[in-house]
Amino acid sequence: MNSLWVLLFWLAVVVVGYWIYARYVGKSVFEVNKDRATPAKMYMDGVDFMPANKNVLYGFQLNSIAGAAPIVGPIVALQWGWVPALLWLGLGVFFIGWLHDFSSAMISVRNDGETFGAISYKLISSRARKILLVFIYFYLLLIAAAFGHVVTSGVSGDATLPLPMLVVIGVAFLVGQMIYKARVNIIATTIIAIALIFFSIWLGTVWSFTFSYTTILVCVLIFGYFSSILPVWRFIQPYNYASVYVVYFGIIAGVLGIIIGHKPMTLPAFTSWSIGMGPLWPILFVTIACGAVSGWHSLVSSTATSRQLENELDVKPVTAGAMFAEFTIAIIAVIVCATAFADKAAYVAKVSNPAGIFVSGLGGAITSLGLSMGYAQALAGCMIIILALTVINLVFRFMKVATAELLGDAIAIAKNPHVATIVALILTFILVKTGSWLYVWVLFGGANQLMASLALLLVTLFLVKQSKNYKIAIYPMFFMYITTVCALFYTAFFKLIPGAFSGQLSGAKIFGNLLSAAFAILLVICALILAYDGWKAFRRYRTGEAVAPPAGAERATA
Amino acid sequence: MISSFFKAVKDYLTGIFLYDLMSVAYAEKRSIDDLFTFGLFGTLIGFPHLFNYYHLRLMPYYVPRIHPWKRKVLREKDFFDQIRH
Repeated sequence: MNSLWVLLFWLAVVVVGYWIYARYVGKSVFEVNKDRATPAKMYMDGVDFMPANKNVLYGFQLNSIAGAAPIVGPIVALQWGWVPALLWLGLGVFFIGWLHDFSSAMISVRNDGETFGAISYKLISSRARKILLVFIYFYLLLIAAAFGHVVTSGVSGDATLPLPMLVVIGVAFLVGQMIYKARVNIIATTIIAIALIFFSIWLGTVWSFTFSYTTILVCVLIFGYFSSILPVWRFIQPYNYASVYVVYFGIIAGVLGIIIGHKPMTLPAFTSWSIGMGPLWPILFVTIACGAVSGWHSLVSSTATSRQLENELDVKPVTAGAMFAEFTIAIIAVIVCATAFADKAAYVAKVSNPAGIFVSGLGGAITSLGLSMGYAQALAGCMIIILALTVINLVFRFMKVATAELLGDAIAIAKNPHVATIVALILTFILVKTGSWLYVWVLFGGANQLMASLALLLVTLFLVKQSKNYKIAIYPMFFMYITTVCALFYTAFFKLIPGAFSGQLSGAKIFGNLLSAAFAILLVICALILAYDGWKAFRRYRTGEAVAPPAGAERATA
Repeated sequence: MISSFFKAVKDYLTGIFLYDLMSVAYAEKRSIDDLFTFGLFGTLIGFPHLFNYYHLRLMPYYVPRIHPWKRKVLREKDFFDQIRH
């Protein structure tokens, strides 16, 4: 089938989803009202709460949610064939994905811009916030391990990438220094940064060198350490700013390449109901998270975006609009990879290095624009590594804060940023070195989707409490919850634990399998506790029983 | 029509490329504001930074900002707040 028709069909799905279903939910269920004051206007403090134009916020939201996951997940899921991958992406985003992002922002807007921690404290139970934090810590650990491998395998497996990646990191420090210290004009700074990065990508193709997997992994963790410890303006923000140009150049070039090249889909449309990773249901549904539905989006929508919306009418274009844009990125990833390989065997040989698959796919698409294959592939490689590093440079920072909040009262040293970061780095190193990446990716996807179902649980409780049509949230919530719990159980009890005792693995891999299985079981236990408390809260709200907020809940709204 | 389209594109690009950088500047401004507030009201907690004359001259300009500042300082912050920065 011609790839251009595939792209156009799914763009039509986006149009229907956004203009019909999203409009119905906004008007009939949440009853959005442009005259109702938003937290940004009520509590404006110039930083966290500050009204912003919807187009600015749309760009911010898309930048915050679209990392490497909408590319890597669909690439791995192509093992089932491109039709199942596209179907889950399309149906997932249409019935669940956008709704999840939109409603997460809406419940925060209607609760004075409170975060999920405070909302779960109020709507579910006093222990819900703590359980949610434990869940999120291990969710972050799986993110670090999953993307740590993407970067490490990508850079160690491609001799053209180490040099440009070193330059990108150096440019990030330079940009931070130029903008915030030397006060150099932003346009001049940008031109210098872009010129250096694109030149280094070319230089990497003529002056290439390789490093071992372990060396690159250690470098990635050192990168994570500095991201966590240094002030945001010193490294994270300049890195994101300088590198985003490569990403958007790659996306635009990829879209143009698909349109101009319109190559046929060469990978099989459907392979099997069950592959080495597991059966299509539930494993495919957690392998593809971002692009269909992702719990991370609920955290961004409820914490950052909800506090900056000028009015409630902006919630749909900002959150649902960004989700559909991310879906489009995932569709592009599927198309470029499904058109890049002559047969399934060539694709399967590279599946443990998703960056390598993406390099072949996007590189091939970009050559339709006239760039040489070597430069196009180096550009695609930089794009995927930059996206994965964008995740890495935030995740250890969050883990540091989560450690302090979880253990800080009991263990004073947990509040030390260096100690908390180093503990997170060591855990990540162990998981990356000993774990099997495909299963770590499934666990990350499972945790991500489970986070989404917990967000939908909060949305359901909010709608029940408000006597609104909660069915639009509860059915997606049930589907995501059952699917992800089954996926985590399946991976732990049918893959990781039997694999550890099969006698075919070395000592380190046995430990990695058991560690991964332990994380999966821990995530499920946290989710079960939250679901139990959520069910009790649901019954209270359904029967209309007067519910007193937990002791101290008023602090959250002070 | 065309000018509003270009404005929308400009805003969108600002959101993608510059909004995070701007938020760092806003956070910096907030910390300077906090320092100013401390200078203005330090007397109340035993740190007399300003002469009373200047303190009283500045007060009418600052009074409208006291309530939002109090709310900002007293608002409970948790792990989730870190996602913004």
